[in-house]
Amino acid sequence: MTEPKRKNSPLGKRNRENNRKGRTGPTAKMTDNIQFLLLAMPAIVLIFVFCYLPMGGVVLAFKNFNVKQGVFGSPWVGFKNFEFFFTSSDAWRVLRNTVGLNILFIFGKLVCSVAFAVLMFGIRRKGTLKFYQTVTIIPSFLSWVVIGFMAYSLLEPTRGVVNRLIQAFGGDPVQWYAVPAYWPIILLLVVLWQGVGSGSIFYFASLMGIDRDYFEAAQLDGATRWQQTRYITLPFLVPLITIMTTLDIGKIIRSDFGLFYNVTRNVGALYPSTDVIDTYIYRALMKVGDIGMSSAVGLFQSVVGFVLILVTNLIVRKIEPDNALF
Amino acid sequence: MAARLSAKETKHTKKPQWIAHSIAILFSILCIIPFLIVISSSLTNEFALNEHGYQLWPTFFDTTAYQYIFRNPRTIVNSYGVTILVTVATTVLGVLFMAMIAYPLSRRNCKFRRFLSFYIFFTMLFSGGLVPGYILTTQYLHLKDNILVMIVPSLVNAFHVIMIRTFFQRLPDSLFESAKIDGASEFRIFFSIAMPLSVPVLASVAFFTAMGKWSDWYTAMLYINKEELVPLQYLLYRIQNNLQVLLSAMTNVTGITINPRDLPGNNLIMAMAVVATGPMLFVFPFFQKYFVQGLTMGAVKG
Amino acid sequence: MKRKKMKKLAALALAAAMICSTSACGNDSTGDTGQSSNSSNTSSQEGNAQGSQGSQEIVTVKWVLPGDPQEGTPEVLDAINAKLAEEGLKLDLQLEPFGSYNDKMNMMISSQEEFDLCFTTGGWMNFYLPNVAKGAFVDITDMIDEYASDLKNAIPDFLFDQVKVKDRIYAVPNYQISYTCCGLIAQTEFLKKYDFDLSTVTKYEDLEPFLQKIVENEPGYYPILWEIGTLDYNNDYILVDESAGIRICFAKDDPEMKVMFQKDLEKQLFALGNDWWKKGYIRSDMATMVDDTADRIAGKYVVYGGAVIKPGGEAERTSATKDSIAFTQVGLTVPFVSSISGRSSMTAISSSSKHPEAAMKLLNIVNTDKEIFNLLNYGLEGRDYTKNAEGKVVKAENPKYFISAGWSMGNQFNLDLLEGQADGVWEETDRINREADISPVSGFSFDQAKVSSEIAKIAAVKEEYKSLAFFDNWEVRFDEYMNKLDAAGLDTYLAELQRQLDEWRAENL
Repeated sequence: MTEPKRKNSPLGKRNRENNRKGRTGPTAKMTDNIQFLLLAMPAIVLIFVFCYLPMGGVVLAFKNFNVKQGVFGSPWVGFKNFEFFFTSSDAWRVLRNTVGLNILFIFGKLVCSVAFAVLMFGIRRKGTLKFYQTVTIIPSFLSWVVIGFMAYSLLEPTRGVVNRLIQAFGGDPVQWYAVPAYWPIILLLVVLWQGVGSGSIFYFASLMGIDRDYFEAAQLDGATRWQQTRYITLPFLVPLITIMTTLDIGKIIRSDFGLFYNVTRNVGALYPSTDVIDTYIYRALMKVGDIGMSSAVGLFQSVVGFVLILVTNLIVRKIEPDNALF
Repeated sequence: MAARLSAKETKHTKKPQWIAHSIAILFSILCIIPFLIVISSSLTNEFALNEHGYQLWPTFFDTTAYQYIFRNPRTIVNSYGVTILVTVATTVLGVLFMAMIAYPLSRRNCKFRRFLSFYIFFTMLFSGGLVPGYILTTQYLHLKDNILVMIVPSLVNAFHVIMIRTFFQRLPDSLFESAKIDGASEFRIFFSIAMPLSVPVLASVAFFTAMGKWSDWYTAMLYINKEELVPLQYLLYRIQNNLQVLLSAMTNVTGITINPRDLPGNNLIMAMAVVATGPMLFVFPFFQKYFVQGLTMGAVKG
Repeated sequence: MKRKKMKKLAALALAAAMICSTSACGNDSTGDTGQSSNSSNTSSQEGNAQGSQGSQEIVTVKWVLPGDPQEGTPEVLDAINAKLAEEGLKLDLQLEPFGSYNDKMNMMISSQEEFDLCFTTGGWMNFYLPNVAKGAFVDITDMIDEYASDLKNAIPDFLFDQVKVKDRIYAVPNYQISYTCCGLIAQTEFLKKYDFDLSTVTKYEDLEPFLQKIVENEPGYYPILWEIGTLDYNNDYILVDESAGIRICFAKDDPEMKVMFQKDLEKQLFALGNDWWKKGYIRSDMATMVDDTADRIAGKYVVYGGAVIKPGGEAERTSATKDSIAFTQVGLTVPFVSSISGRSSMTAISSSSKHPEAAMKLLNIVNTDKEIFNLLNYGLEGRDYTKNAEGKVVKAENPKYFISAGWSMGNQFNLDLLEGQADGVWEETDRINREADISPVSGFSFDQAKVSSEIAKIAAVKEEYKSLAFFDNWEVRFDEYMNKLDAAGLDTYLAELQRQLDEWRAENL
């Protein structure tokens, strides 16, 4: 077993059991729970008011909304609002792109963010470390509109930097905005560039909690840097990685509209690989502007995400209950 | 203690770190160049931008974009004020409330932790949509044109709660046990043990909360009509949104006359990006301080 | 463990149901009180206003308009309200930036937030038909006769026909240019230089020699820009519906009015577009170009194709360039009023309004009182604008209020001319409006309810292929486009449209 594991294992558990059986009586348990409740109360109330109260609005997905009759008084229409999306010949393409690209993004971001956090963790000079972190977080401050412009200045067919480089080396310019096949990779690179700096912060913050004694002990045993990373650092990050990934899986059929709309410049020829649910809905409902239809797709996304998370959570729970979401 | 650590560190750094540094430097360059291009593009005019494309150094120097943004210094200063107030309030209160609920979630002796986890997590996936939220906020809570609307609803973020919880869970159990044996209440353990030991994650969450609030224009768009309550990002985003909507009218709608000269140029959009993100870059190191330093875990080892 | 989870889910569901029911009650009750107070309020207010004119009983009308909020609004409103007080009215103006207007209206309307007037359009933002279907607007058919006879007289009758939905009127058209005439606008300097007479052009191909000369001799210029998408105006076909983004027409001489989507014409246009793109007449980055305002202002386009031709159009183009470039225009189609032109810009009364009659009265005044309308557009003379020697409006250096979008507020022809606008432009436009041929299906309104799924799907397909012409493999993708339109339910949509049109025809023709 790896070193950090020791923390949660036998010793801790025995203590806990002692605790349960021995010292605390039912009243003490009550007090604890009351205190827990008091601590949680502000957030419970806020979530109830701002998240649960409006949740009744999901019925809109099954309604022909009429403002005079209101959200709940409008006539029911069954699954009619879902029709346009599921009977569309693009539904499959859009679902495939959404899920496929998300898997690519989740995996890419996970690997790169963890790697970058570990890399930063290895850097001992505080000033240098701070510089790297500050600079690499800049892209996450930029809006997708601006990032779209930046990408265009690189990929523009005639004046773009990339094509000029290709030509300088004697190659033929590439029509980036006409070939869908390039785009999963281009989008992945954009997502990584934009998100790795900020994505690594949580991992880095987590690593700051590692007890340095472990490394010292490992070094005494003659472990290499790679071995230390492999057997101390990475295992330490597993719980966080699990949680992050579980949450990401719940969002696997949602997508960042801004990314897909601005970075691809909404070019129709690229849709075979870049059209996702959110861009499709935008396009389809731009003229119709139907609240019921957009709610229907939103509900579909929620339900799928919910089921996926439940399944993932169940699997995680089987393997390591401590890492489960709930 | 400190001496022991630094001695260890010197031993550590003897290993060549050039691979780590070269990767980090490369990535840093990739991140910083586009930002320099954004700055340079904001310091030229739209025609030069159109002619020469985006460059590291403007061929034609022009500050009209900034003059336009700052043509009404009172408005912009006021909106900075609103944004700062909203950001600080949301961050401070939000982190506190989120940590407060994350703590019971992390404790095994909390009876309702699984239910509570689910209660929070559920909101990440399901939402009632914009319309019911709007009805609630304007007609029942009467928060329209109230600065609280930009603070209160966004205090608790389910994702961040789960992050904090995950970190609390990693704190050694022995710590809590010994505190309990010493007769400490859960309140006390939370405030004097769990919170101080989780500074890195709290700082990260604070940073992301601040960042999210800083760039939030949507809430203001929905609920703020009073000009004195308009935050910076909404002020800037208006210009960008106007451009898109008016462009669509210019090319798709007959019978509506729009003069292209009334539309903002791309240099203005770049200047907006600078004005909006600049301050955040200076704020980041403040948060960073707390998670870069790390914790002297030795002090709390049982 | 499973059972536990189920229990929790059940508890949650219960909680959710409770929330639903309570908020439902809340909703309904507010709706009710709104309505009841509505009728009682207005009647008392109306009684007062009519009974004792000039007394203190003044009704405030809230108008939501697109436009950036203006610092000097209070003073302008004071000036307007001083005049409105005689009529027992007070205007409260909420300006909502163009970029957020659509979203904001969607929220305000869906939540039945109280306001009285708003701007609505057929196909650009705050859509008219979906809003009427949602019950967002008040039926003003009878109110117009009662409270706005001046307004009715000022505007051609056909416009009121065109905004009708099932024979009822839900908005007042903002009177502006009503006809469409499609044509070419070109830079005069280049026409002279290459000795090209624009008026000899009868079809787009005739333009090619001129465009070729620009390509060969004028680097740095784009020979032509298609303004309204592709060239899709044709005098031989009558437009019926455009709700899915594609133009559905019937042949002018077809007594049966058989509606169709002109696939052949579409193909022809894409072919021409592609040909011109390959020859360099159309800018090479056309498919990825999103914002060309800088090019327009700098005068990079030599010809604007598919442009709207209107009186004073050249002067308008000139004032839109930074070097005051001169333009020459020529119309290729006969001025024609399509059946939906009345919907390009309208003002509607919200169903959440507590005093729709007052709102109607205000609309009547705004559309007929020149002084108030100019105040609303240009603000205060001296502070926000000055008048030059010709009596035209010159925007101040730093105006505190200057909207200048008469087309979004009412009768544009009541506006004083701006510097750079040609003399007599309004009179001329009004004349052509009234003389132009009117679509035989003017007054027909398509009810989308039954085919809303198809319309959404078609709209998505159309958007995907809109810049099809500017790719090398356009022909392959064109077939794909047609197949996808069929798969999206084009025939279902056409059949429903035909059914409704036939019904309408039986009743009205």
